[in-house]
Amino acid sequence: MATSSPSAIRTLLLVTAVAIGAAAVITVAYEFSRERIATNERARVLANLRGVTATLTDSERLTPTQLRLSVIGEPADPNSVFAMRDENDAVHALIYSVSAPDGYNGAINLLVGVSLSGTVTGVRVVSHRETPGLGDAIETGKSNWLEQFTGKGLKDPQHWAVEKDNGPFDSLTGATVTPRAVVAAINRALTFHAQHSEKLLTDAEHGGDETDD
Amino acid sequence: MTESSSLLQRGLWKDNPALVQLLGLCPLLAVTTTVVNATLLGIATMAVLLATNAVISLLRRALVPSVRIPLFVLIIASFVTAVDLLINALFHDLHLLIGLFIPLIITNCAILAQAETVASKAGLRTAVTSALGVGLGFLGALVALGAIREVLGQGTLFSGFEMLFGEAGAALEIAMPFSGALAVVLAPGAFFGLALLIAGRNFIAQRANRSASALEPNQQDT
Ligand SMILES: Cc1cc2nc3c(=O)[nH]c(=O)nc-3n(C[C@H](O)[C@H](O)[C@H](O)COP(=O)(O)O)c2cc1C
Repeated sequence: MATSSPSAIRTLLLVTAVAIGAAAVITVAYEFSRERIATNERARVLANLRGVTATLTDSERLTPTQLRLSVIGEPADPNSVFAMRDENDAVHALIYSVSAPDGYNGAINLLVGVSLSGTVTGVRVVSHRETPGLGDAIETGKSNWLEQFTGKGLKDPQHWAVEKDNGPFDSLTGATVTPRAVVAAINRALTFHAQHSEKLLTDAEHGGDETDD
Repeated sequence: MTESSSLLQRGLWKDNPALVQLLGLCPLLAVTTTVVNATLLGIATMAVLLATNAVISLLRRALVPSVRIPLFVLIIASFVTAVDLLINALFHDLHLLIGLFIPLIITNCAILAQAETVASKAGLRTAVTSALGVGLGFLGALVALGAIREVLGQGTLFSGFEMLFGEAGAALEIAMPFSGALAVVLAPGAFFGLALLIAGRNFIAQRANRSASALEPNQQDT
């Protein structure tokens, strides 16, 4: 425009130059980080998946593949399901990624490993917002509270509840809300496994597998 | 005292961003549960301060007053984004713990204040020295508060350093003979800990003032 003052043009040039510079800084950082972040994420997922099947013999040679939940038809409770296979493609365990919406401070996301015979091989918390020092003892690094579920199944015990609700599971000192939510979520994963695992595995055998990488 | 050492001293002690100006308290209170969390956030903040002060100082003659604040924010935000990505790539485990608070560095007023009052008016050397002082002052306050809260709240010191230095870092951990009080880890511990640090700093500063005026009896107390 003929009427624009020199200072408007200068401003425009300055803002453009700074914006380009800012974009360049972010682009360089992004290009440097992208692969590494993706590798870190994959390593973390794999470590978590291996972690919940660590009680199985030879768990380190198992590799995960993600199964298709869409074959169930109805909305499924787990967010995702992984099959842990050995080098001969034999499935040793299924891992359910489930969410307990009723944690003290919101959703607690868990991985529940279930053996083919329907017992828990291990449980890990992937993310949660429970109070440090109270509810956060559900983290594997902070206490061994989650270990009490290993080997348990839907019928053993009959009553899936914490001691305070007359069940067999220890709760945490001063925190009952968090353990209640976790116990219920593990129970839901086991129930889902009992109802649907065969269908998921049959589907996987017929090529419905989605590889996880 | 030379100019640059007095500049450093201002950020570190006299105008410490966290303990005197009370700036950047949101991440300060949130991440100081352990020394390692505090250290990483302090270093990240210092890196952003150094980069923004340097760039703004170099740009200072081209700056247009009416758009300077949006430009400062844009520059700060892009460096914070870059630092956030780099931390996620290099210190993934720590990023899972404090990642939420790294973008909040953008809102740390100490950085905008440096841009406005120092970097946009001074040469590169002064701007960088000043950023170094403020950055170290903030880092120092973070680490001190982190140490208090980790020892009293968790009964350890320097735990989790393997997330920063690899396996060797685990050897730094010192276990206390007690297990720590939960309240110190929770939000109230952050406020009380900060209050203690501010009080301690004021106490030392007052004593220094008094002995200084005792040496120079003619000087009027202000
Ligand atoms: C600040 C604050 C945070 C809390 N965080 C949790 C928590 O993360 N998980 C939990 O189960 N209970 C938490 N509680 C305790 C619950 O309010 C509730 O009292 C407790 O779960 C009941 O446990 P009890 O039946 O063993 O006494 C918290 C309480 C307060 C005051």
